[in-house]
Amino acid sequence: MGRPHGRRRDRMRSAVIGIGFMAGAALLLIAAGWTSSWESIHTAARDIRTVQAAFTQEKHLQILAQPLLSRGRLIFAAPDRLRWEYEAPLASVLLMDEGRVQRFVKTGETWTEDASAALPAMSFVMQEIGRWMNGRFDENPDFEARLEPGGRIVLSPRKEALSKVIQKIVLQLADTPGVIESVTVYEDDRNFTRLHFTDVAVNQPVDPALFKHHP
Amino acid sequence: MKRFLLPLLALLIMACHSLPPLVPAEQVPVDVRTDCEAAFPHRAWRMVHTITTDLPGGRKGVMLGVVSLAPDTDTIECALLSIEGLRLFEARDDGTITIQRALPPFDRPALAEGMMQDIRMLFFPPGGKPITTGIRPSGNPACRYVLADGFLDVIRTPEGIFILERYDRRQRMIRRAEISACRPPGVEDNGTVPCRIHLEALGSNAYRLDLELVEARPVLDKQGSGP
Repeated sequence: MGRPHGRRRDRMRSAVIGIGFMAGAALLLIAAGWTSSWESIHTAARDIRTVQAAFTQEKHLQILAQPLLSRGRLIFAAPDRLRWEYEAPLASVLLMDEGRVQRFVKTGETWTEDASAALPAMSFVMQEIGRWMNGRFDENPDFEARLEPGGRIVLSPRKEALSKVIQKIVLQLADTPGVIESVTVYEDDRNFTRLHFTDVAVNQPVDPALFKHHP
Repeated sequence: MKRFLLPLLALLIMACHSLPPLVPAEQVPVDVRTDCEAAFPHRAWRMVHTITTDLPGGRKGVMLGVVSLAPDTDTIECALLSIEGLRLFEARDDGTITIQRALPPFDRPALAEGMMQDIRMLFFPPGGKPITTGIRPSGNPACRYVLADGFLDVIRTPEGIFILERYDRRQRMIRRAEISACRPPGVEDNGTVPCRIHLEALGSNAYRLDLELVEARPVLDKQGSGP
């Protein structure tokens, strides 16, 4: 495998894994500014300083009769700090702080750094979050954004290569302004991940240490 | 002196990893074969395990592994997920391996075949009867099966842990697994499943994996509806 090809693969892998993982989180943030048009989304998103929410995650797989359930908590502080924490079934936490990305996993009674995550992918995602936080969906080179009636946002990959990995991402905004009901990442029609957000708090104080340390 | 020590060391290592004798002994329990077969699930299950692998620098790599086993049709479906749930790899093996999805770095051609071989070793009893049962040098009772490409020893320790050792045709150990079985909560009547697995692959592409059960559900009907 030649180096240019390797770079393309790395870049693609970064895009794919990063987007697949973080789309839900990042889109929660932008959706936290409740609106019915891109303009007002843009305006509202500019006012977001922090977002905190609990989430449940359903992983629907064709080979599983019932979805695999996870739960956790999300904490974001603009412009680029994120804590994405799973409490069950596998305790893990992803920390992004001023460009540094780390993931820790609890194995047994100890927390260890997890290296299976493609950290370059996380850096890539950080750039995307920056765009989304400002409501600049049209500047995302990888997805085409469509705002539908009823507070539904659909993101579709622009490139065929990416669409083979992620078919689309669908956000359903809640009736309450600033609150999102769910984010669904479709890998295909029969395999998808749905995140339900609850207890969303916008612009509440957040301890900066939460972005630096695992539990 | 070193000239002699190094080959000797290599010889000793090889000896440790070669097929040991299995001594038929009168003290072998009559149900040793039943004990050996207890190492494997005996019905269709869907299971989710965390998979942890050691990486350089003391770091860990962690994923989720999903397997759907249908012993009656000799079919395996499996998927690897990131912690966040992104499907990195999915394949089916019903005699022919079909890869449904393989994102880098899980798109290496040999990976699917190796993964299916590991899953078969861990979850499916080897076909046929053991060629012999007896006592291993460790003192533990064991069954020895002939595979298409080598041998498999199934050993049960006094602590109830199953040890699987797979050898190639040249009688070199290529896989070793320690399995602790348990009854998943809520499905007590459906037998045991592997709850903790430590798998070592030996040789030039060595790796070590630790699997821990997240959930297991028996497959209740042909349509695949679990409880």
